[in-house]
Amino acid sequence: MTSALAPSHDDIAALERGSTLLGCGGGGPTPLAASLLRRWTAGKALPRLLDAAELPPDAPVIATGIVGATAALAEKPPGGAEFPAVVEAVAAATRTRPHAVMGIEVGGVNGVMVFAAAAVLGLDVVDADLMGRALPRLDQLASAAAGRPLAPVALAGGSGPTAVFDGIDDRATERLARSFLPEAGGWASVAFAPLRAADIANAAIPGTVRRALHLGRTHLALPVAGDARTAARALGGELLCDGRVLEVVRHRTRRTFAQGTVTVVDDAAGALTRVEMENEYLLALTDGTPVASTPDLICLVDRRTGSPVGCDQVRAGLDIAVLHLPGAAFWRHPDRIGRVGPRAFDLAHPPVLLDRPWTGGSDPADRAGRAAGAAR
Amino acid sequence: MTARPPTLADVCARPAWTGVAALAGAEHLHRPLTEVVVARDLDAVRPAAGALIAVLTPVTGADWRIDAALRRLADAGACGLLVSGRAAPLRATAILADRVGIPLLGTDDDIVALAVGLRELLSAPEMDRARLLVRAHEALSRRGTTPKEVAATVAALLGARVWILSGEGATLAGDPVEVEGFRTAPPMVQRHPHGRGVALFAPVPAHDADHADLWMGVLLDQNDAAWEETARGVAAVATMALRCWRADRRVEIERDARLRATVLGELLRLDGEPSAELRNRAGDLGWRLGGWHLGFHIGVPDGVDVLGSTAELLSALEAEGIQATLVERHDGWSGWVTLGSEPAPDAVGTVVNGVRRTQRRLARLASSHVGIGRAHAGPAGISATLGEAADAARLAANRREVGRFLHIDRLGLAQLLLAWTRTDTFQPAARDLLAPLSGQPGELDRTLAAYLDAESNLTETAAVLGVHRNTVAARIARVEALLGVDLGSADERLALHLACHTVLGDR
Repeated sequence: MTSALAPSHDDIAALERGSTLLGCGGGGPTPLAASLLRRWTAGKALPRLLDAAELPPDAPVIATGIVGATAALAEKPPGGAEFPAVVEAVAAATRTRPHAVMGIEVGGVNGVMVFAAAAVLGLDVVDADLMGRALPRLDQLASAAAGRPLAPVALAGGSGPTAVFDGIDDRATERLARSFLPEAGGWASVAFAPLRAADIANAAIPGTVRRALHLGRTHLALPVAGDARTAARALGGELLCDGRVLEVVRHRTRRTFAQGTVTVVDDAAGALTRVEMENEYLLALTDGTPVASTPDLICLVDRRTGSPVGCDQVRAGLDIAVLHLPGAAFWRHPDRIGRVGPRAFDLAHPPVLLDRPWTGGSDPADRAGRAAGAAR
Repeated sequence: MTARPPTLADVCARPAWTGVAALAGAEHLHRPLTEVVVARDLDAVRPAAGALIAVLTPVTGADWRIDAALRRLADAGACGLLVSGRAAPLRATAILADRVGIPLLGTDDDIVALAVGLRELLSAPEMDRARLLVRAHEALSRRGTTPKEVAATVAALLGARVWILSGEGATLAGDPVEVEGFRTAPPMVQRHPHGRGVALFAPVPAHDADHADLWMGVLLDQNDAAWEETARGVAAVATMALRCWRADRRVEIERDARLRATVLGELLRLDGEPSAELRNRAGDLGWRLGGWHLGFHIGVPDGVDVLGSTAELLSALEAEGIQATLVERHDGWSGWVTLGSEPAPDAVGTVVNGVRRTQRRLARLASSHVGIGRAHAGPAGISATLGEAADAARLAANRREVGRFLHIDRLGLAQLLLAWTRTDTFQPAARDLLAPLSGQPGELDRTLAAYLDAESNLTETAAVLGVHRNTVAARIARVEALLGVDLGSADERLALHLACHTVLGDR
């Protein structure tokens, strides 16, 4: 059995980097969340990171985070009160007291924000989230995929309003949440119906926070100008392409999310790796052959700075390594893959995945982390 | 058809495919095409070796599925991808098309129609050809289709450059291409490689079949055997139409020629003033019977197409400033220029020189002989001047030294006749005539010549020869006996006189 881990302030950088990688080019401005977390926990310890198994089986855990437009988040950052507002609203609606919180989305801003929320709430963080990466829609939450109702859902806008939706299905929840966002100022904090600690193993994706920490630490430890293939292997994945961005095309036509295409020409082989994006990097083709897709992770890393490059940042001329990292095993289940595979993004192709998915336990570095935690 | 399968480049050169653009991978259009496969959309693409994959549902240039399809086509050994719409693809897609060697074609035309047409072309090339030939036949079988219309029709059917030349190579219709190796004879279909394509020349043979009346040139963009075969078929239909047009023209020309010949015949037989009816008929032809007429006769060897050359001759004379009336004759043309008053010598000189230059310039007249008569007045003057011109032309036929050209002027008639005695025709005849006298004692030929020069006066002849008068009489008697002639006859005297001049003058 594993046991509680107490991340220190020194781990925030690793958490930020790891969450950014898991964001797959999307998930919002992680550095903003990191700076909020540092500010809100200044002079205090960070919230503890628990395994769900450490909680009593019936202990309620509420998933919380931010939804909406990430650009608006930078304009008007959260003040802190948004999280108690939604968590307490859900607790009241369900007549429960949460033992801990968990993230809704480990990729991007929410991967870090859950610690900030927990700090404000004075609760621990359960090592799990509802996506295992960044994804754009509420039907792509693990609990929804596992058949758990999202409602009651509470939303609180940065500008004040709070709303609780109950007794509605997931589709209506998504619709109502989206209609609430403009009123709320573009983004809102959110809390979903509690999960029992014992259900987290099946209705959430456990271990993803440790994975973020591990990926972040590993990536930060790599030399910036080092070999890209070595870096990809160290992160548990493969290198798709190492070269210069030939062309970035963005279409703002079909849906609310910005779509586009990035093409990188491999320095050595001259091969063209084309990455289709819609908020996140979704599908990669090398010389026309699909080589990677959701729910696996496609990450673009700037070869000059070593930093992950977001979909909104990538531009022609950058030197880029395209990485393919394994996605969570949770999504490979035949009943769930339809929600997150390429077809869920109107990309008519079956998923193209690494041989082995990420399963919390099989990650050697992750085991080392748990061992370190156990030793404390 | 056993020809090699066409390439995409061949197909794209066809008229039905002019709306198809190579959006990417244009360097890879030269693989043999064996099949066309229609796919509902990019997701349904099932590539096959040698196939063109035609996708019905329109795509945007940025669609990643184009890339995926290009790759699958390349892996399957397919020929190309045809999509609906001509939007430029992403740079990445264009580079990929080149990398995998698969051309990406786009069109706003009906993909199904293109695919069906292509399938037919590939599975049954003769169907495609037959359809085009039927269309050619329909378009060209109308009577009176001019060369210009034929060229335009064939150009539209084949989507090729088409032009029509005269038998000598002058442009009649279209915009000709200089093609190396083209010859105006013999009248057989010619094929010459030209650039990346092929130039075909189809003749309309003349009635004598050793040269062409017309040539039709067709320039095909691609060297595609099947398409060339089709083009040859269309060209055959087109040359049939051209032959028809020529035959119609010929009938018109002959009708006109016959009319002119009839009126001229009556003028030549004119005795006194022409009847009002003849004046009218001449007037209908635009002939002026009054004034002064300066006639010429152009004789040509057998085998020259006189009727077919009249128009060319008229325009050549016109180019020399000569407004002549021409009438076709059995051996060439009679022609004359009508002037208001008696022509001054320099006016005559202008006509003479113009006719002479025309004779030299026209290739058709290379072996012609030309005579020009004197100017004569009035309706009867036409007959007179043409008679002189015909005589002069007859004489000119043997006078290579003057370019087979003779002009009878006022002073030159006698010289002309004398000159005739030196012709190749007359000289052997003269020698034959006097042959019995040679080898006989008594200088019979000289005695005969002197006797005739002395106007049959025995005494004067004896004085000239320095012999006795009786000797002369005896010799003349022997001459009459040897030659079997009667020197009392004026005709026989004249003939012998000319013969003596010729034979003795030669010595």
